[in-house]
Amino acid sequence: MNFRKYFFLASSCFFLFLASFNADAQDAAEKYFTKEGHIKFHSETPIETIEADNYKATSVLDAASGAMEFAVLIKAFEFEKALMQEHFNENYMESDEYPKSKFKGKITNIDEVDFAKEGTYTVKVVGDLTIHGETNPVEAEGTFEVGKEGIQAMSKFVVKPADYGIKIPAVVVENIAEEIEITVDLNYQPFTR
Amino acid sequence: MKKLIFLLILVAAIAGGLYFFSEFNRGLEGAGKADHQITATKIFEEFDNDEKAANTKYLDKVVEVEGIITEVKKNKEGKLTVAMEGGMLFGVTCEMFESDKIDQNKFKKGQKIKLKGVCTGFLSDVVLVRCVEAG
Repeated sequence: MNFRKYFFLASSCFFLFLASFNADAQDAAEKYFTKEGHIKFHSETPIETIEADNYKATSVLDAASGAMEFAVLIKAFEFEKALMQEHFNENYMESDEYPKSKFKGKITNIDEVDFAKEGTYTVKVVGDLTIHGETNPVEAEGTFEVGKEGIQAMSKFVVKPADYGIKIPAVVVENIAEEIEITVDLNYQPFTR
Repeated sequence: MKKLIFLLILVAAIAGGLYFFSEFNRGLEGAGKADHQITATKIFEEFDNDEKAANTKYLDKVVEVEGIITEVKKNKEGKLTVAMEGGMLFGVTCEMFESDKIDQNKFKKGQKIKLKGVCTGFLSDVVLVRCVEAG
């Protein structure tokens, strides 16, 4: 009888041990990462439409807590016209002084996303966006498309250059929109070391 | 004499106009003459040790980098990226200029390569854009 009791205890300990191990293994796969995120901005006025693409955004997502971070190099934004790109860097973004833009935030409804089940989920993001050395809180909605090839994350939101201390000279004030639309489109891959 | 002056002004105006027009419409170009020549491991180390100093030295400069290819990737927009070994986890990532005109199979993992591109900074990797092959 005693032997049985011990055996039971020992085996349950063993299974508990296994279970904890399993949980650890799952935690390790709960970070997602990309180095090739696409960020686009679009400014539209009756006079001119200005667009630029950046395919080199990095981002990390912690699937357990919903914490996410973005970083992007301002000089890696590519415009159709070289002159626009030069003005963007030199006159508006002052990218020699502020080479990076960052976002640090959280997905508030991360519980609603089942990373183990393929499908499209709507997510809400809040956090701090730093552009041109100035930080402002932002809120955005986006989607997570959980698939076999990682997670396709998409979002669209609006920023005002004025909020970030970006001065637009009077001559071109009609050419640049007061609200600029930012599109984020990235493919998160499980992060393994 | 008056006619000649008028003609000169006209020519100057047309030349000026053409210059402005072409300058306004100038597209992006691939990286030109290299300002720095360095290995992937070395430039990564410089950024990793002192990002600020490296930014001052390399930002907006054309850098010719020699290294071992760790990854070749084409994203869904068709941009080709060639990554080179730098440190333990990260390195130098090069976004190729006019990716659609490059045969992706030309670049193989493990191969030694020399690329030149415009340095845009450090984001866990050293990032070069508008990269072309260096001779």
